[in-house]
Amino acid sequence: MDFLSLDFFLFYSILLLFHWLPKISNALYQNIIILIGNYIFYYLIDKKSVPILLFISLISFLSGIFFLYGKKMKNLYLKLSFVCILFLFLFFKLSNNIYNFLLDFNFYPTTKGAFNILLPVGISYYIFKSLSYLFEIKKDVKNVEKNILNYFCFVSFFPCILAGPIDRTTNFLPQIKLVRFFNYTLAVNGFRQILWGLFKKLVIADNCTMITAEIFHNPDSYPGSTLLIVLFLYTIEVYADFSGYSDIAIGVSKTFGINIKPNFNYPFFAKNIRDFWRRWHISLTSWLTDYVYSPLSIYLRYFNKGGQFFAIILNFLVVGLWHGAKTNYLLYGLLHGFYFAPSIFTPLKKQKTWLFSRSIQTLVTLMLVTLTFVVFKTNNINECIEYYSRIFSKSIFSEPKFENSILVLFLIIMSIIMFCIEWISYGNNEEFGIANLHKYYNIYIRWFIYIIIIITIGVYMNTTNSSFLYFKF
Amino acid sequence: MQKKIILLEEIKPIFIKVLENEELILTLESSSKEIEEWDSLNHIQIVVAIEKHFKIRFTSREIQGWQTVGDLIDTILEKTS
Repeated sequence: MDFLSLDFFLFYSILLLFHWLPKISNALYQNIIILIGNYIFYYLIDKKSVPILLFISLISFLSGIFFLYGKKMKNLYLKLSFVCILFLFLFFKLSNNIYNFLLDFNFYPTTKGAFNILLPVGISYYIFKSLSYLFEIKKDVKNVEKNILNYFCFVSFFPCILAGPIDRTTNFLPQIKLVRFFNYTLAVNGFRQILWGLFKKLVIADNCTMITAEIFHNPDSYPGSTLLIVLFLYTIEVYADFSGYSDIAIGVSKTFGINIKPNFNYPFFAKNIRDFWRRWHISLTSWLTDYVYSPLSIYLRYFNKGGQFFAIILNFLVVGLWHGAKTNYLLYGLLHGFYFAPSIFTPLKKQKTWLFSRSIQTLVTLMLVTLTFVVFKTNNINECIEYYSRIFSKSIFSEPKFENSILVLFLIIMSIIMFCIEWISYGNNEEFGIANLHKYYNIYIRWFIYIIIIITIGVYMNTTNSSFLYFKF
Repeated sequence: MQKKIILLEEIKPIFIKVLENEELILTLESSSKEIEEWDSLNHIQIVVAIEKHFKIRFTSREIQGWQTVGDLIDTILEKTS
């Protein structure tokens, strides 16, 4: 089942009806419906990985129980569980690399790529969710969840299982323990968020792919000017795709009465790299800050700035590794680490004023981030070098050439519209582009806006690529 | 309570110096959520500066357990009494 399909729409509608319609105001009933829905969904997406999801949920749940009731062995169970889950994560991320590496040294008499373990869908996300639970119970035993149904709902929560956000038990469990009463405002905002996510994904991201997919991997056929525009389009594509997915996930959760924390907070309005990483893929970066960077920087604090520098670089290497054990992802992480690190050595006041105006700072930040996507996207080092050398060559002044210039123009206009709408909602401190429209416009204008968006999606959506970019991580 | 207020006034200059904000308002309820410049990077510098000032040493568990300035002050009180 594709996430953006009629099947999903049917599944979602039926689950929503079962969840809200019966006059049973009971958290147990609602959670059973959600849990059944979670596993049906995951079974239909990736049936062979259901045992893995069950296994990870079970051992992390049990380590909580052992931690609570075990006496001498409680820390041991926790550590074993942690090692086991981490091992699974590294196994899936690294196994193909290790196999190919061994092949290079002739350990196996077969060809490269013959061994190909497929990553279970969503594993990077639900593994990180269950690891965060282990950290939280170690911090405070009060965080142990004794109800297996509630905990399993958390790990397998279907809106977030494919590509996050990586939620925490401290956010989710207090909500799931209580019966949810239908909240009209929350549900409507949920639908708005789903609509906004669909717009970004179907109109912008999917159409950008039509341009970027081919050109990115053939940089030698295009002038620097074309490649620069394509790079910007790819940056917009990643944002629209991933934040669009997150909006759909969070919006769907809201329609079930569950609030999931935002995953993006207008990252392209960031004033510097440090600010950017507070706004981009927030659930991952806050996970890493809480469980990797903070403990490490506390441990290394007597090494002053050197210790902090090391902690930052390591943190960003993990960002890279999380995406995959490929050189380009590690380089991507490292590049961001080196972008980030100077802020340790620069006084805060200088960071605020060094480029005079806020707009210039924002544009420079955007440019720096955009440039890292060459490393992120290209398949190998040659492609990467070719791409950069063309952008930084005289051909950047030549006329850009596209097979489909109209589509490029359309995408530039749509992106400007998207950013304008987000600029307004950013100024209003709203969570996403069309959040809480009832506060600003009357019912006729609101419905006019919804209908325009729906028509735009209907006319311009591109269904040749129905998967989301971040599903592969 | 009196001791906490005294300590709050004592650590305020450390916060002002690290966060480079002369107009900083610090209360027992303050946390990194309200103070823009106070992120995970500056947090470590504040911790080290406080350890040096009071000649104490915090454990990782204590540092990671603080939610507010009040929690930090409670730990300082425990270690200095």
